[in-house]
Amino acid sequence: MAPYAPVGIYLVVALAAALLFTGLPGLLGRRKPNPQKSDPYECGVEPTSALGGRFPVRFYLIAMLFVVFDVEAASFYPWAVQMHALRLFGLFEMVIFVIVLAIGYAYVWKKGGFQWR
Amino acid sequence: MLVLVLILLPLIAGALLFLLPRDDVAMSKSVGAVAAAAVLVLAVAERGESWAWRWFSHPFIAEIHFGATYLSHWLVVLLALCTLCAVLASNVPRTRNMIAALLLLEGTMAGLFLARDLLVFALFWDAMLLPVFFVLIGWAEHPATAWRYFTYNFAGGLTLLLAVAAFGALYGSTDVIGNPAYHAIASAWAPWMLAGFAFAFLVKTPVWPFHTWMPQTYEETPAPMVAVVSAVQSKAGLYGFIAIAFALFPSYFRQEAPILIVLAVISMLYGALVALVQADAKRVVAYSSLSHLGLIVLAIASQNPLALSGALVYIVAHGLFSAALFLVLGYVEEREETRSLARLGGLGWANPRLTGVFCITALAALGLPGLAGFVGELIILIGVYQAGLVWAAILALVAVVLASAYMLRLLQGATNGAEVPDLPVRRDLTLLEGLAVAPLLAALLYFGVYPHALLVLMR
Amino acid sequence: MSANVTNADWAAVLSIAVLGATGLAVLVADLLARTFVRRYIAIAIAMIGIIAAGAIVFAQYGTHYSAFGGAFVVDYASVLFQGIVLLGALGSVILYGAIGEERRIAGALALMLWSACGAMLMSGAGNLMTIFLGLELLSLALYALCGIAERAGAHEAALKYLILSSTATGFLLYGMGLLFGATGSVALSALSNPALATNPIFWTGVGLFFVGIAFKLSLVPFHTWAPDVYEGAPLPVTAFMSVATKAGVLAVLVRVFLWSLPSQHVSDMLLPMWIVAGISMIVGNVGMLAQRDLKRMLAYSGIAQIGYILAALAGGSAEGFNAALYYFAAYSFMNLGAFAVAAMLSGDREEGSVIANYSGLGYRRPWAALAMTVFLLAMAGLPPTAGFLGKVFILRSSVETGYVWLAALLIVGTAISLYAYGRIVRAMYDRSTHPVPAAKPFVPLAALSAAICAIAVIALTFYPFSR
Repeated sequence: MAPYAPVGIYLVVALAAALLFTGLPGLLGRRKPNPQKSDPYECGVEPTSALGGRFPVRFYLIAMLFVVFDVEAASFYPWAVQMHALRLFGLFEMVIFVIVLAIGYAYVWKKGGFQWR
Repeated sequence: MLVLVLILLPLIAGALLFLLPRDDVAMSKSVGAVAAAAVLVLAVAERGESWAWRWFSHPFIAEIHFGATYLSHWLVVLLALCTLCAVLASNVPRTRNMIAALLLLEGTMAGLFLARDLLVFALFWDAMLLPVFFVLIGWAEHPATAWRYFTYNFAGGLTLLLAVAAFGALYGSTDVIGNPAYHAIASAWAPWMLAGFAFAFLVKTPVWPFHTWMPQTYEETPAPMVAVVSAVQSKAGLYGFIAIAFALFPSYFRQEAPILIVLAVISMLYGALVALVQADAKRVVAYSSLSHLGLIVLAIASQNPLALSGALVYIVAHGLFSAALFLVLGYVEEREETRSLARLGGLGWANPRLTGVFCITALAALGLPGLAGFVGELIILIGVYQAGLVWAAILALVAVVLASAYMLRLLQGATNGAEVPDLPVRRDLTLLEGLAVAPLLAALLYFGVYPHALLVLMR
Repeated sequence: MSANVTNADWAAVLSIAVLGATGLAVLVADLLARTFVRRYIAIAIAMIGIIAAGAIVFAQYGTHYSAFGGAFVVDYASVLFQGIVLLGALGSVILYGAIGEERRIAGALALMLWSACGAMLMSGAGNLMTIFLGLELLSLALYALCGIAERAGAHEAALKYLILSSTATGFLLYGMGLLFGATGSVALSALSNPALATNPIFWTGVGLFFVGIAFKLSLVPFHTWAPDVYEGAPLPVTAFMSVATKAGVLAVLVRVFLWSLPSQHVSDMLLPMWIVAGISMIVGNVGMLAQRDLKRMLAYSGIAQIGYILAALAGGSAEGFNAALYYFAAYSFMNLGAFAVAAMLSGDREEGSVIANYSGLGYRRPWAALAMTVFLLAMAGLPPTAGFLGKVFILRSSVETGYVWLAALLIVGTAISLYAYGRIVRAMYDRSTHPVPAAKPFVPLAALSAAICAIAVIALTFYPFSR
């Protein structure tokens, strides 16, 4: 079990740190509540309904499509950093990746995935 | 190659028959008859050629291997003859389909008898049930009969398959039927395999208490088909006993033979007694078959060489007279529109020729000296006696005597006595109908006075 | 693992790339094509892509190559399993010619092709990462495929599949983690170190890994999802799941459990696996008896059939492996064929999956009934079909390697299954008065698939490729 000792220590430390940092504000912070502070954060706009309510399923679709492009951006960064090391091979990889993504984008667009129906 | 043609010709002809016009009875009959006659010629001309094609050699050896042994040669000749007669005698609604089914049955059964590989044997075993099954579906009074026939025989087919699979797995080859290089398999599983084979054969033959599917099937199958089924398909079980159960498991077979002897004797007596009281003409013959086949099983189980050669003669003889009997009963039913012995009577007044044929056939069935049945019965009885089974021989003799009683009851009940006024009167046997039975009767007579022909060739 | 990847490495996965690109092509074609030909263009492109990938796969037959530093392996097994995956994809894709909503066809086909990519990746996986990558690619596409139809049952099936399958993936991943911990490597070749045989972490990892695999193969006691999901998913997807998915997972099972574990301990430690196989045979076949839905019945049938295949593998002999491959090939054809017949009879509401609709089929659609009879006979293991020969091979190998009890269970299971299959055959040839849906117009593609499968099921009997 010896090789797992660092893992165990890591787990214990992480747990302890998390508990510590969530617990400290409650112990140390000063509390002066007022109605504005208790509002959900909505960029200064007055909330119109309860936060726990239901909202349209379309949000999920948009969110999912957003994730696709989010992941795209996330994989551009490491490539950009290592572009010179990866040379032409990396460029082609990325081009293929973008083509695949573009086809998906075109498909979603044509099928009306971006329309708020 | 010839053996292959022997199997494929009827199958192809049967399939092609469906292309002919549905209602042209004369054309389908003549095409069917030509095909059946060609098969008969080939079957007679066949001289032990064999044909083999390596199916697979891994994990055990199996060959698609066909070839005739002396027993299967005669069975195929019998099959071809009976099929030809049945095709000629066919006079049922949808004649074309019936003839096609007859040819398909001929092809599958030729494959069964000629197979030299157990796996191929098992394949054809199941295949030969199908034509009969579809005929029963199409022509029988109750569809349940078809399912009963199929379920019983298919159950036998399954144990057969299982036994074949086990045999292949343990012996390493299934190319063993009539194979001189075969050495008796020694395995703890051998008795189980034998049981699997024997169950299939007992159901198919049938032997009491596995016979319950038979009377109803025979009663409801149209005459041409039941003639072939009773004459030849029932022999598949007997062939299996001789060529597989006895040949492949000699020591275990010897060990278990007493069980078989008891079952055979019960079949003989039970079949004969029940045949005595049947009201339906076809059922009389069905139960008489049970009795007669019991005698052959007894001969095989006694393992006496003399009884065995008697069994070979009687297999052919029973095939000939039971086919003839069912065809004749078919003629009677066509004319009188009934099979009930209570209704039938006085047929001889208006149909002298039919009555004559009926009479010869019934006499052959009850074992009249001079006809083939007698020779077979006699040799078997002597052989069984020689084997030391005196009690079995005596009981068998009782059954043989009872045969006279039920056969004469059937013959006299239908043909003798005063004419029954409310039965229809139709014309007597036509030439074609006569021609359809004549070869069977001629063969009965020939082998009756000269059984040597069979015995010599079989040796 | 540096970036020195050779052309040969790319060639090893070319077939997968072709398949993936075909999925894209299907989408593009769907955007460009006119409405009324969309369905057939999409199917045609998908079939061409699958056949091209198949040609590439079979060009690799007989070669042996370890690509990407051992992450992907090309060998006899990978070629045959990939072939079966492609066969399953082809047989499922063709069914979209008969059923499915037109506007969703292209998406479904693309997902199915990508799912097949995952299964192909698993077929040749040489390390744990590749296995997981393939499995996820396979599963993610399948979740969407299950739910793609408009019926309520489809959504239920998709959700059920997603939740249960994710749990199983969790087990699998945990097992992989422990294996990695025990060996310090993700390569399957590292698992064969004999020193591992006494390591409890290693065997715990193997056990968890097996639970994940058993779930994906729907072996008893991890089988309960299969009937529900099969019933709810659209017909082509069910066909795909019953063949291609199982091919990929079975390949992983063979590679990990039979070829990679330290050999001297395998037979003892894998006993639970063979017990699971034996129970699957019985439970699967008993489960079939009371089913009224064809897809449910085939789910149970599949449970039993995978049990048979594992029984062939139990001895670990080369002969057993050949028997398993042969039976699996036969199984693929009979299942695809049965689904093709069901598709022939199906309208929008999948009438072909209701067993009651088969009564009297022999008189209404004689050829469809004949083909169905062949497939059912094959599943029951009766001659003259490949199912029979396959079972004989399995019996032989399990008797020879000493697993007589598995052979006995196989026979008992087969005997039970006869009733279930026989029930349908009998219904098809019974003259009954049961009201059946109106005859569907002739569906050429599904009929073609059924005919090819029926011929293959019989032809495989006479040309067993193990001869």
